[in-house]
Amino acid sequence: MIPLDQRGRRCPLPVIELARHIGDVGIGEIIAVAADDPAARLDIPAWCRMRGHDYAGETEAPDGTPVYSVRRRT
Amino acid sequence: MQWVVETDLAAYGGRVLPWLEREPVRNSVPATVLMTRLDGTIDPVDVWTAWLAGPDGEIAGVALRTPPRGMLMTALPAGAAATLAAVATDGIPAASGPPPSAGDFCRAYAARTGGRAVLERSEQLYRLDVLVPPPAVPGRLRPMAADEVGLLVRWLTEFSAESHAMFETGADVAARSIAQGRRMVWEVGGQPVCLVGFNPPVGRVPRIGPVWTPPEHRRRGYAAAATAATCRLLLDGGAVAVALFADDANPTAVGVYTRLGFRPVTAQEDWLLEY
Repeated sequence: MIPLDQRGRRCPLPVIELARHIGDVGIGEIIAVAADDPAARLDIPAWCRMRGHDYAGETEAPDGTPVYSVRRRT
Repeated sequence: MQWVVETDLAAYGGRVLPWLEREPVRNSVPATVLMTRLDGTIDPVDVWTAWLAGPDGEIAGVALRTPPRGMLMTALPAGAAATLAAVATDGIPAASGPPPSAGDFCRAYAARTGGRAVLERSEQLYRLDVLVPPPAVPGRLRPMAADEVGLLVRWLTEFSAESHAMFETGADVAARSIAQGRRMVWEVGGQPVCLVGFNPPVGRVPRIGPVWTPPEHRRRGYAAAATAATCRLLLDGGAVAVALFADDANPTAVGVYTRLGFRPVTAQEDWLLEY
């Protein structure tokens, strides 16, 4: 798992950065995006569907920021 | 004039598709985005749809959003892009459409949300009525086979990384597009060297795309040959014309398509909202 800190950045930037860094993890591994823009809750799962990756759910960082986990599929 | 937000996708399609088909090239993108959600090619999750009711109650414009993309719109009457920004949901990241609609929408949305509208890409929509055959090159066009989903996913992933464009690269959509016969390759000596896809016809005008040649196979005329052969196939199959997009910043593509007989019809802009 690798973390991707997108605190303070508004969509589409978290999605653009996710697209840029998905190749940093191996197939089957997870990239965890911390993003406080509420739009990310819709856009990150939607990006996963568009790109054929698995959206692996939302957790919370110690500071309360939502963390969206994406499992690379291709 | 008032925007009407529609939550039933099938009802929305039945209402707006006949209107979109009146201008099959100009409205090619919103029409095919809608059609591929209605025919099951792409799962219609969280799609937002609206149409603009004119003074007589007739449709005067169309706007829809398929996350994570931005707002997609047709040409709009003066002032309607700003009223669209007022009814749009929070968190819209971008907008696409003919000038000045997409830019007007983003400026109005930015004023509402405290952001900044930035032009990301400017393209032209082209239309071909009569094909001018390109110089002959080795190889032949054939539909992609069911066991080539992996190749298609790999090429689309490379294409999206190179172009920074937002389109489907997953295996499920790739498999459905191949099964529909809408993904072709140019093959030389048994090896696929160039991809040409096409979208369902709007009226009787299908739109070519994606077109992708991996870097190691470029500058040999394969994309021109494959695009021409695909146009031939579509025109022989009942299409009255063929549409496609080319980025103004890609003179190679513009040159190839212009030589085949494509003529620009309208500009199309992609705007981003920055904060």
